[in-house]
Amino acid sequence: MTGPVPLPVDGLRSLADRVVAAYRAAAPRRPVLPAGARGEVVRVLTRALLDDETHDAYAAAVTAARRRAGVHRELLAAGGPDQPAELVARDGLAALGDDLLADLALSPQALADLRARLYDDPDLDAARGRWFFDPLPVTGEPEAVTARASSTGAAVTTPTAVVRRVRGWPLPALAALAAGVFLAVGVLIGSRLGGREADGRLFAEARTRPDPTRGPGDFVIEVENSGDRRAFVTIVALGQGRQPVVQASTREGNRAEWLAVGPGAARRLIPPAGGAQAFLVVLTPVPAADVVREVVAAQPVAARPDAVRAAVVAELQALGYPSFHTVVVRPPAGTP
Amino acid sequence: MNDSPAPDASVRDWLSAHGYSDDRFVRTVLRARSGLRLEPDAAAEAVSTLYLSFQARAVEGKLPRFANEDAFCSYLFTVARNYLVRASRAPKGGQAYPVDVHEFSTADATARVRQYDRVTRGELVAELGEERVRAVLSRLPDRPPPPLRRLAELVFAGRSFTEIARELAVSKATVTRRVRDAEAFVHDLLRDPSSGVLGTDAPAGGGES
Repeated sequence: MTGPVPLPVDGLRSLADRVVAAYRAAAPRRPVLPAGARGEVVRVLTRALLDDETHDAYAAAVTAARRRAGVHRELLAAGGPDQPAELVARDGLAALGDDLLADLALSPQALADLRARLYDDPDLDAARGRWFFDPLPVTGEPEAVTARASSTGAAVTTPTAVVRRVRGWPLPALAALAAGVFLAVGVLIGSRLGGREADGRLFAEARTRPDPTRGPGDFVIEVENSGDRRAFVTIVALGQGRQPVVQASTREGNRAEWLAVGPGAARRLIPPAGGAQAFLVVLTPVPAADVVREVVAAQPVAARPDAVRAAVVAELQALGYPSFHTVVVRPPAGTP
Repeated sequence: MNDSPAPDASVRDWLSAHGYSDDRFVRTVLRARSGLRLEPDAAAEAVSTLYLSFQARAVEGKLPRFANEDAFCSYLFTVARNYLVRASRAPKGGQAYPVDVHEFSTADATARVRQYDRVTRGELVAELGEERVRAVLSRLPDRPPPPLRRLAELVFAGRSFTEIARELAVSKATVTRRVRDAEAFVHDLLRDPSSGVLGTDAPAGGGES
């Protein structure tokens, strides 16, 4: 009998400490995510929902951190929001906003309650998405498919079916194969399927289009969503030797809104930075700005667009994003 | 899991028609075991029992068909979960528990929720003793949302979560979470010598540190 590869306990404790510290530092005190930790929180909590060992270890770590900080009873008395179990069952924790995610990370009771509902609420029997059934990394099997440099912790899931077929291969060969598979799948999806992901729920595509109405040589990024659900758009402007610029929202007066394209609609978006040589467009069914920012920040400034794209794809897959599409577009020919 | 029996051709064809391999079937059963604190062998036993049940259904020509892989996946998980929940409740060495391959989101699912109510209340009493738990109720905070003290009183009065939700005008999800908060609070008081709930001979000091 094999068992899931456990997440390092030190990493769980470190995250628990940071989550509690962020709560104490907030004014007024409330659950908030530690800066830059959204991806890590999604990974660890997803694993905690699927794996008893991780759940118990993380719950113990958070409880200990709350006690050390003297806020354990304060938090128990305060309670928290209702967690949208149906949304989580369908789309995973990546679909939650920061406030709900922070509440889960800070409250072992909220986490245990959500877990119980995911497994035993009959209303959710038909709602559980594929993320819920994804295999966990298994003891004795290499994690090469998701083995990657990461500042935010261990991976959650890995396509072990692929790994099993090549069990016994040397690790570098597996890593190379995995990178190749990611790139090949990305290219295939981008070129052949026009934004259709494996589960077929997100049909969206992006392209650049000249827009002479804005000025000679100007252009827009056009996003067309032919699917039946809203597509959130995150655009990364990439230029050789320049810090990438990530745009995922628009601001009108004091109000900021996510960039999104409704079902069956198209939208023209002004590129976020002049002079960019390429744009990575990430289309997701829930906002992914934080995830994309984290991944992009970890890349070398001179990273090639395809490498940035592969890193974003790997992260979204690891986080269990239910469906998404990424494409690299370039300014139209003749653009200065 | 290597010693689990392989399904016969009819079951394999049925699994395969819904995009399932043997490995994936086993993984689904393993996932269904989560949180039930069963012996490691329970999952292997569940795999064998489910295979046999499906084979019996195949002979009768009564294996259900599903429109897509996701629906099939949910069906398998639910059947496996129902079986394993029953296994977790059965006394060791007791009667075997049947698999009903048609019990998908029906009677047994309701039983699962009822069982969850009982386990929550039963575990707390079994672990701490009802008298001691009652003694600490007065130490629970009495402020919304909803007050842990009132919530715990209702739980120990034998009210169901649905009834409590109605009485306190909150969602059932709020009740289930707050019951966990109340449990944790009680545990924390009991482990804290300075809380005074352990008796007069408890050493001074302690509390959150």
